Amino acid sequence: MLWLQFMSGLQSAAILFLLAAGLSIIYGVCHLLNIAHGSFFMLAMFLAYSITEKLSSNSDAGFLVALLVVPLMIAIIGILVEVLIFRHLYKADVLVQILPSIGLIFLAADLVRGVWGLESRSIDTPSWFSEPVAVMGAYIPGYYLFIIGTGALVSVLVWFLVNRTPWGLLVRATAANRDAALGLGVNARWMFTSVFGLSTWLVGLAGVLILPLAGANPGSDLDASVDAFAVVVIGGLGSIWGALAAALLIGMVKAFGILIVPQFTIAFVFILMAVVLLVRPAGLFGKLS
Amino acid sequence: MPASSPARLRHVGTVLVLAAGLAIGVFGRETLLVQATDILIFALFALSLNLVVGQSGMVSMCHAAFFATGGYVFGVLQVKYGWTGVGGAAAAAVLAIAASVLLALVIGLLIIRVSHAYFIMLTLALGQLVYIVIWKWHSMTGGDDGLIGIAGVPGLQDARTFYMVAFVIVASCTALLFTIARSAFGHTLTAIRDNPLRAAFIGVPVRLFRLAAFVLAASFAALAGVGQAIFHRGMFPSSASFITSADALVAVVLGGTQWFFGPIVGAITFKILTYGLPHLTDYWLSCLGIVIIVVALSLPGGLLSLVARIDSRWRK
Amino acid sequence: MSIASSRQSGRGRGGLSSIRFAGLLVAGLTSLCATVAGVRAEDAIKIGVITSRTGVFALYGTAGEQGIRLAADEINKSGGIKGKQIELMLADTNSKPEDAGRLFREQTAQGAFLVIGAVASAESAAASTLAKENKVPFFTTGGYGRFLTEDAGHRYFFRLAMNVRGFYTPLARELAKKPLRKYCTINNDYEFARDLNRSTLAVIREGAPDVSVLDGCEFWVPLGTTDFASYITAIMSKGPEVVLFSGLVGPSARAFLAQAKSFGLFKIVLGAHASMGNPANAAGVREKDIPGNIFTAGDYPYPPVDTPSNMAFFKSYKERWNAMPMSESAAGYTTMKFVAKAIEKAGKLDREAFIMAAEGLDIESPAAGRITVRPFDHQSTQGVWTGNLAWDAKDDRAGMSNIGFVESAEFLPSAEEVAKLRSSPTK
Repeated sequence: MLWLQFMSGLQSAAILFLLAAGLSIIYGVCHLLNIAHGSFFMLAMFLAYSITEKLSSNSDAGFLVALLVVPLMIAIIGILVEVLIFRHLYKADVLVQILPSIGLIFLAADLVRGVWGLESRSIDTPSWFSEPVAVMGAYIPGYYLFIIGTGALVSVLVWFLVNRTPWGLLVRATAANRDAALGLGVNARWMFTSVFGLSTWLVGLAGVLILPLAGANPGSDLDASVDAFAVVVIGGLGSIWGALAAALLIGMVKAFGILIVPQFTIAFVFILMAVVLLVRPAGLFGKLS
Repeated sequence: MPASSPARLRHVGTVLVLAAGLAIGVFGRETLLVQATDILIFALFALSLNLVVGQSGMVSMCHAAFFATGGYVFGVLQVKYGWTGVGGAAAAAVLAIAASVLLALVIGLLIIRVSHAYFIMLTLALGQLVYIVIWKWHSMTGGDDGLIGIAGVPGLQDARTFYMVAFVIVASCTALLFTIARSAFGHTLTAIRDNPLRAAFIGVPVRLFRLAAFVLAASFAALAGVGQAIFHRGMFPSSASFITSADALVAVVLGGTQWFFGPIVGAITFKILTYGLPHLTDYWLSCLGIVIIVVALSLPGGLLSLVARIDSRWRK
Repeated sequence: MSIASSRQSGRGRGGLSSIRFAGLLVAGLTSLCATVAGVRAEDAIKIGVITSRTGVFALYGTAGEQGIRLAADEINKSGGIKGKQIELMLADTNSKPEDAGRLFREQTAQGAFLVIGAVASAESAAASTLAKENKVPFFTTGGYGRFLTEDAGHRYFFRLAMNVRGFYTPLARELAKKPLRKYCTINNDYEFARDLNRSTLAVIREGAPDVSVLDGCEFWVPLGTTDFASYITAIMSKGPEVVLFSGLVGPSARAFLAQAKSFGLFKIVLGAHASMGNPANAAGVREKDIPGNIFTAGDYPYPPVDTPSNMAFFKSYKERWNAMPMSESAAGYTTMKFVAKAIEKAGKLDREAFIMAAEGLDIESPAAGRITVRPFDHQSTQGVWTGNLAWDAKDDRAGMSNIGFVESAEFLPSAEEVAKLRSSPTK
């Protein structure tokens, strides 16, 4: 039983990590708090719904296409937003940075209302994963294992990108010392734009992956943003591995916490956030600037 | 003389705003009175937030917690304990502000050592905890059904009377906050905002000053909350959520954090947009979003920086 | 610092965008002035309509408003009320109770004879307080909360929509008849759900006193939760016979069903949800995610009730809005028709006379047939449908099968009970 709780916690953690990793990277490199992060997530879910349902009569094939295409679409939207709006705000006060993200939240919510209406939208779980799989004596739905696997794969991929590629070197250099890196001729514009693209790609992927389980819901934007912020803050702003650790921590606290105090789930994340920040003001893996 | 430009503007602006406020009170129709009262309460809330944000450089996302605590304590005393009548209401208001001050002290002590993005996040988390307490404590607060049946103050039921009283109170609070901003205390806060390290070196107890600003701002927010409770004859948990904090933050930045009257201008603009836009289009949220983005990009100093810019152009 | 940067970035686009902004501001102000000046036909009967058209209750609010507008159009087309046209004053509350209160005042100040609210319980409560104080009738089309017509009810509050008792009472009585005693509950953490859960269990125990909720198997999840894996695994490990999830609404209910399906939860337990028969609550539910054994109730069931009046309503609603009618649509439609009938009966635009006329008056509801507004609590006698959650292939959405109808007399409180609730309010 505890093993099953552990696996369901792992599944929550995988989604939380994908949701929050991008937010953390943006802050680490660009020093930008993108409050509208969850809006990209919501948009990804609705786009994936349309592609899965409308593109092909076979919803499995449609979902596969959505899985490949939607994160890219979201990345393109993210890049457009960066070029049009955030690019002009990197030097501005943190307050002035927050303002346009709030504007974006309103815009995205209205866009979804206008295009997809007010009802929740959903797709079937891909039929490849309809059978539960026995893992160490417990039956776990195949799709959950797929989510956990994808989360792990993407973690490795991001690790490789950041630690083993020339691009990653520039990212690390900029994150470590922005002014010095820029002074040495790192093309800041391109760098920031690509970071934004990667970050929105990740959140787009999270949206598509969770769609068969959660459905596309108007209003999921704020919930997703709050979840992502909790992960990033507990892990430490700008730390990808912190985000991973925090996602695991939150996933496990939820999975096991409900066995102990099922009536206070609503406060779990915020209590965790407050406690971590009070003990370690920069989060688990963060550095105070 | 660039320095005199804001001062001159301020005098003209103050007179204009006072005159307009009184004119609304005397000639305004009831609809206008209701909207203007709503704006007054929101303006006081935003103005108090700017003591923390603009003057002290701390971006707080839990200001709504103090606003709501003020309103809820007042409301609970009236609804559950029958503190009605003029005397009861006055005592309830005093206790409401005191409760909010106490809460601000507790939260303030917890958060005063962190800064920047972590300050935003920690205030967000603690603010949401207050929201959750209101949400879950149904027997006291009414939970998400809201606390209804707040009697208010006898004699203030009429929209015009209430507006006039609110106007006088908000104007007095504005004057008080202005005095605080220009006092030695206010200047020290600005110095800390601009360079906390230097301020600490010359012997300023940085954390103490920050805490004082935080608590002081909370007391004014609580007063605005009491106004809200009386105005709506009820309190609802949404008043404590981070969205309410964010609304005020938008108003503050819209008007300009570095101008004392920025939050008032921002609050009026924000409210007029939210009243007016829905009449024009179903997609009023998009329009509001676009306005906010455009202002942030073209006028990072807020709307008042536009006025100052025009003013300086005239003088050339 | 921020002033310096404003000069920098404001140089290029500053001029154009500030003009555009000024334009918007002027537009906003003008419309404000227009509403203040009240440039409207003097002869029409003004009805205020406050709707949560945006925000968390947008789906419910919009459906309600569309029902109200459809009815008003029909009335106006057939000559209005004694020759006078109805003029609806529409406003969006953004799902905020404070705005509901403010808009209620604005509309009454601008001459609304009464106000209809396509809004949820808290917004209804906010408007109800003001209705009582200003002696202006208020009708809710979306607030189901018991307290609205019971503990906190008053002369100026009306509800033609159903009382929440209709959702849980028949359902709970059916459950009590089954030989199942071990329950788990999972609900969204908000007051409506808490009351629903508490009341359902209380009614079940009237028939089956030995029903118990398993230890540690009462889960409360935040609104908007869509990740249920760990809850489902926890529930399965406790081994209940019934899972009661009435208070999971909107996205949560749908996500719970999808995830319960992948774990096979409802292969081993019976499910009960009091209001999946409210179409908005079942929005987005997939055919594949519906197990056969979920017991539910609803106040506007799918497939649509096959009566001439409902078929006519269903058709004209779909044509007008290109959307499927929901419970709130029917409630809004019926409320508007009822208001018109009561004004006609009162014979003059007088609020007290209107209330006299409205009390005990009946009206044809599209699906529920003839319903009456009870004089002592202003609650309508709308009944409820119960059945199993099932797929309605014709309308391509979740609905019910084995549908049965339960009259309101089975679940509404009597005049004495209402009087008792009002004299010792718990709120």
